[in-house]
Parts: sequence; structure tokens; C-alpha cells
Amino acid sequence: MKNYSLLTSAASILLAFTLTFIGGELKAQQGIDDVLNNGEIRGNFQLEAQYYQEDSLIGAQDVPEKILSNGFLNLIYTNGSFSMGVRYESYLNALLGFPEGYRGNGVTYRFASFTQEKMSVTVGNFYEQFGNGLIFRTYEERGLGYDNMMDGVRVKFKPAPGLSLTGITGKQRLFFEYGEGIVRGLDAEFYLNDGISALANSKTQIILGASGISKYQPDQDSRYVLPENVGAVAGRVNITHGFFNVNAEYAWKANDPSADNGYIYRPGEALFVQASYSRKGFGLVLAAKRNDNMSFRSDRTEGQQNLLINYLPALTKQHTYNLLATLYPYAVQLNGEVAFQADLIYKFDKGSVLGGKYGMDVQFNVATANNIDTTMLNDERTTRQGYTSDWFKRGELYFQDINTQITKKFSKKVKGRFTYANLIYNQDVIEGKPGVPVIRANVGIADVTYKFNMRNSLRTEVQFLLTEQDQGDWATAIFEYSYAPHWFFAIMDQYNYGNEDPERQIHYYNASMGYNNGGNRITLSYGRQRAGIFCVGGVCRVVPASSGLYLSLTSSF
Amino acid sequence: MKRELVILFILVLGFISCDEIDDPIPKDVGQDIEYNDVTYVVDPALNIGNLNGLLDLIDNNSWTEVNGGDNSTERFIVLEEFTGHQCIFCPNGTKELLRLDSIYGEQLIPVSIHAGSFAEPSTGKYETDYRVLPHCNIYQSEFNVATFGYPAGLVSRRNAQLENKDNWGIVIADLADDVPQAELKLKNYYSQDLNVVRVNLGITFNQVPTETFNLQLYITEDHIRDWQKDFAQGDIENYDHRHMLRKVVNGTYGRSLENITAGEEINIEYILPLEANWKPDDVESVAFIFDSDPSSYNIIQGNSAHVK
Repeated sequence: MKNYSLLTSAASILLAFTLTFIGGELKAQQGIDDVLNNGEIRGNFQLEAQYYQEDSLIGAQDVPEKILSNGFLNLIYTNGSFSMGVRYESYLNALLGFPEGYRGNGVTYRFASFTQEKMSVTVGNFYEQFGNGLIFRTYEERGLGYDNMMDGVRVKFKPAPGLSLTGITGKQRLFFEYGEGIVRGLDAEFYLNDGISALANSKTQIILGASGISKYQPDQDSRYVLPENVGAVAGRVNITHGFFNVNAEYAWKANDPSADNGYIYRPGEALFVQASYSRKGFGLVLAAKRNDNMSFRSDRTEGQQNLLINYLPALTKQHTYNLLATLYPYAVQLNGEVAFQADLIYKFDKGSVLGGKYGMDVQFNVATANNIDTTMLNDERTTRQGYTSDWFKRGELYFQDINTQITKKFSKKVKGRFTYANLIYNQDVIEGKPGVPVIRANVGIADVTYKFNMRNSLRTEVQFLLTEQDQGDWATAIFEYSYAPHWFFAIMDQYNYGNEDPERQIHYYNASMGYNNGGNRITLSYGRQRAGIFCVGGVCRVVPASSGLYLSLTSSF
Repeated sequence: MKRELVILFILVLGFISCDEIDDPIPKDVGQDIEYNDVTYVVDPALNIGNLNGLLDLIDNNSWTEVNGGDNSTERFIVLEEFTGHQCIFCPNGTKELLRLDSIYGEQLIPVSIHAGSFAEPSTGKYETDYRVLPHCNIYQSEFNVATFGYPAGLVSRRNAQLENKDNWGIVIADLADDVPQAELKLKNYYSQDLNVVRVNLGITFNQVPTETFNLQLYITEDHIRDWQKDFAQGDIENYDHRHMLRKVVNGTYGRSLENITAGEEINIEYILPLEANWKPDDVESVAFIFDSDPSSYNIIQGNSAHVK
């Protein structure tokens, strides 16, 4: 088990590192004073805390600690081309819904980095992504409790014009420990217009990329002969010509039996293609993705969101309105998925028939996700390839979202945003609830802001979600009064009026207020939180029902 | 630039070390045969590859039955003692192990694992190799036995920590009254004609666990008479080696228990031949369930029984 050192000792070590190793940037005669004078420290702090009350009606459980909190402090020191930093995290204990592994305090992130001409070196913790992330992406999404950062060494090198190399090696974060597996990789990106003189002035910009990742984990399994080293490669191209852009990447992964795929030895593969056209007032994005057996973790036995090496982008719209965002959001299916998305944005000019005096923005979005086609093989006792799959066929529908959004300013005082969405949600697969019916829902949202004057405004939000499945119909109303530039006050009620069980027709009320000033923001709310699912980029966390007082505090300098 | 791109390509490929596996099923571990809600795992040496062969084996031979203890309400404790025939202090460990065994009876399951340099064979008196390779070396390394010193023991692998023999009794007393997380039934069927044992294991968890657990099966043999070094008596001929690990049946870290449902029994039966030089009267099967997390390895339940 790995223990993190205390903040003070980490800072001392990093300071010693600074003074010892940044000789390339510092003249020998420079003293500590010079170093300190040239340096800069930036930081930010975040605290999320909740006082929990038991509420049996909504299923909000009793919390023995009564108060739970998540706290973060980032400190980054930079001095010329040198930088170092730490992040202190505190979970006393973690807010409900966050993984149990987040418990306690510690310095979870520390790094030192310097750049010397064409080379940049980072030791300690770092985040990195190769291409679109199909074979490697480490990142933090604090709201999800997701953090698969690396602890190791990263070297970036630019050996020739247009050519960038990135090499990494390390282990991945698993809460307050690191995973067992070792991850090694190399990415090469070549910007042709910089590297080839004949293309220097071309209107067509081309970037080629190739990357490889390998993970090592010992085989301690008696049932199967497991590959201790699992490799994955990817190639990509990004072409921009005028208003057009095409971004495509293909990835392949060698046999990687794991708990995710039922210990089959079939190689994985993924293809991601996105084409876009955008000019003033018009944008169109078409995207397609197919991933087959592409769960890639540095510990083959892990599940949930733990120790994922790669990232499979979600081809669905990231909604922000509460009912639409947290009742039936889509989670990317790592074992197999075929997804398409079209996103159209059009702005009707001021003075046009539909645009009126202030113009009007219209967005239309269609997203679908299906299972891949599979034909099962009866080879459990032989090669364990699991299944075959036809690239050009699709399996069961997982998710469909057809939505449109109109944003219009009606007058100097009134503006509105109106959303309609039609959802098909395969709850059986997405939430792992066998036998439950597919949910079909219609969602309508009106979001209108009335501006009394420069300081005072009132935003009203009304949402309806209509469905005959699951918990039935929902409605939400929000009134948010803002007193610019510092204050806001809001009340909300979410009502499950369509629940078949009259006792479950519950009101989820909530009142909140917030204060902003410079880099500080404080939000306080009290009320009920409905159980739901919180997703960012197709990665999701189940949020349990809760009731009580919530405090959010952020500060940066 | 062309040369650099070639170098780059080679570099990328160099990073992609991976192991291609053509035959995922290990040669030395039997393949699963599912029948009547029982998973049968047949030792490859028996050359039974399908259900018909399995049914012929069971139906066409006579089997004596021996049951393990009832641990439905009691946590059985596994004491894995690391020892060696050239370890002069180890007989003291064995004495303590036997003392505790006499107190706790079937609740304590002793296993003596010969591992490390003191267990290595040498010419002359100590030429017999009692190590079960490679497993005992892996255990020795995993639990840092060499740095801890002999005799050392794992008491139900609590905290994955070795304990000095003087602490074994204390830890056992700590664990003995625990409410078990699971019941592990054990029944041996032995065929004298074939010298084959069928170890039938029934696992029932009281609640669906949050941890992941593995099932481990050992074969031990008692009363093996051979040389042993001793601090006080020097070389002892015909020393009574007790509860010696003879075979790790289902891999170093056992078999992962999957699809656990509270209150529903998982039934697995291992079928294996006994070695010709083992004394069937002294051979025992030892099974236990342990947390697969290397920071824990906690054994939550165990059981054992003579094969005949």
C-alpha cells in the first residue's frame, strides 16, 4: 500500500529539486533570493460539504458522520521554464455517491517539470492524452470522482520542425494508491505544413499522428494464461481546409482478457471519425464511432471507472438542464458500441423573418448508439475469442436523443431558450437493470430570463419529462433571482407527479443562494437531491438521493 | 525527415510490447465442465476432456466419503507456517502449531509450507525437495518471509502480515469468535482403485461481498518421516513432518469466485490423482476463501478433511 507524504515534506523535496536541477535556467551566481523573485505561485481551493438529513421518503440514507466533505487545494509554482506543484485532497469522508476509496487526506498530486530547448521533462504526476484518447488519456473530472493520473516520467521532445514526440511511463492513480499495472507509451505527431517546406503555405493543414501504449501486469490467474504485456496502437489524421475539418483515428488493441470482457482474448479496435464545417452563423458536425472490446485498464480485474487507460468519446449531446442531464444520460459502453451524431447550429440574422430584431440561434442534434453486431462463438475452452462481429451491422439500440434548442432574445429585457428532446434509453444495458423496459421520453424545457435593470434579473425555468416507463412523468420549476454582480438566490421544485405509486409522487424542493467576488464563490443550498446519474463525456457516476444543507466554496489566486 | 520518420516508426513499435496468447487455457489446470449446477475441474493427468468421460469416472467407480467440519456459524482459521527441513528453529514453530491445533481442533487448519533457502535440498540427508514449486517461492516472496525470518506464519493471512510463532495464538484467539462471512462445505470422495480424490466444495456467502474473493485448494500430507535440523538436537532422523503442503491444486492464487449471490451455494468439485508416494491415510484436502486484493489476502473461511 502506498502512502502519500505530507504536504510539507513534499514541498521541501520539490524545493530541493528546484535548487538542484534547474541549472540550465539559472546562472551559478544566482542565489535563493533571485530564484524567489522570479518565481510565481498560483493556486485554487475548492470545498464541497454537505450536512445530511435522513429522509426515508426519498430514500436518503442516514449518514453517521452527518457532515461529509470533499476538499482540494492546488498550488503551482513556476519559475521561467521550471514548474512544480502539489494538490492536497481531503475526503472526510467523501460525499455520498463518490467511490469508497476516497477516504482521508493526502497529497495526491505532485510534480516537477522543466523545459530545455526542444525537450520538456515531467516527473511525478501528470495528465496526458494521445490523439483523441482512444488508447491513452489520463484526466481528472472532479465531479465524477474520476482521476486516472499517471505517476512516473513524461518526456516531450521536438527533434525536427513539425515533429513532436511524447514518451510516458508510470502507474495510474487508484484513489489514494496506485494500480498494480505499469503503463508505457509513445506518441508521435507530425504537422506536415511545418515539416515539409512545400506545404508551408498550403491552405490545407495536415497533422498525422501515431501512438502506442503497452501495459504490464503480472499473471496470477490459475484459470487462464493471461498476457502480462498488452499493447495497443493508434493512427490518426487531422485535415483542415478552409471551413472544413476532418479528424479521424483508428486504434487496435491486442488480446486483453479482463473482468470487463469476461476474459476473452479477442483483440479490440475502435474507429472515430468527425467531420465539421463551420462559418459565421452556421456549423455542422457529423461524427461516427465504433468501438469493439476496447475497455483498456492497467488492472484487468478492475471495474467501474477505475484505472482506465483510454477514453472512448461519447457521441451524445452534453445536456445541462437537470431532468435531461441526470435522469437518462448515456454512458459509453466500453465493450462495444456503434454511435453516430449530427449537430447543426444555425443563426438567423438580425432583421430576418425568423431572426427578428435580435436574431435567433437554432441548434438541432441527433445522436444514436447501438450495440455492435455479435455472433457468439462456442470457444470458451479453446481460443476464447468470444464472438465475431460484422462491421457494417448494428445490434440492439442503446440510446437515441433527438433534440433541438432555440435561443432568442425577444426584447432588451426578455430572452429565452427553449429545448425539446425525444429520448430512447435502454436502461437494462446502460444501468445494468436486467428486464426493465426501454424508456421513451419526451422532454420540453423553457428557460426565460427577465432583466429588470442592469443589476436585477429573474430567470425562470420550467421543465417537463413525459414517459410511461420507469418513474413516470416529472416536472421542474426554477426561479433564480440575480443581483449583479455578486449575488443570486434560487428556489427549485422537482415533482415526480406521474409516478404510478401515489406515495412516490414526491416533491424535491431546494433553495440556494450564492455569492461571487473576484476569485471567490460561495454557494449554499438546502433541500432534497433526487437520485440520478451524473455524466461527463459519457463517463457517469450514480448520485444517490440525499437531503440536507450543501456548501460549495471555491477560491483562486 | 524520411530517416527520422522510420526511426520514429521503430520507436513506436518498440513501445508496443505485448504477449499474444494462442491457448488461453493452462496446460496444468483442468478445464471446467459444468453439470447439474456443479463446476467440475478435472486434472489433465486424468485425461478427461468432456462430460461423458466425467460421468464414466464418477459412475463406474466406488467412492468413500469424508466430510469437513461444519463452519456455517464459525470462522475456521488457516495457519500457514513457513518452514524448511534445514531450519534449526522451525521445530519450535511446529510444536506451537500442534499445541494450537490441539486447542482449536477442526477450527484450526494447519499447513506447513516448505519454502526458501532452508527448504532447499542438498546432497546427503536433506536431498528430498519438499517445496511445491513454483508456488511456495511465490508465497515466500509475496509475504516477505525471508526478511521476516523463520519460523513465520500467516494466520488466515490477516492483514497479509506474517506473525511470529509467539503471536499465532493471540491472533487466532482474536479471529476465533468472528461471525463468518461465508460457509465453505468440503466433502472428499476417494477411489482407492484409482487413487483419485474428488474434493467437492460448496461456498455460500451470507451477503454479496464488496470485495472479490478467490477459492484456494491445497493438498497436504501428515506424518512424513525424514531428516530435520534442530537447534538443540542437531540432525534428527525420522522427524515427524506435520501437515506438509504437497500440492497447490488450482494455481498459486486460486480461482476467482464470480457471480456471488447471497445465500446461493456455488459448487465446485476438483478431481485429481494422488501421487503414488503419498500415504492416502495421511492426505488431507485444505480449502479456503481469501480476499484477492494483495493488500489484504484475508482468509475469511476455510475447511479441511482427510481424503479417506
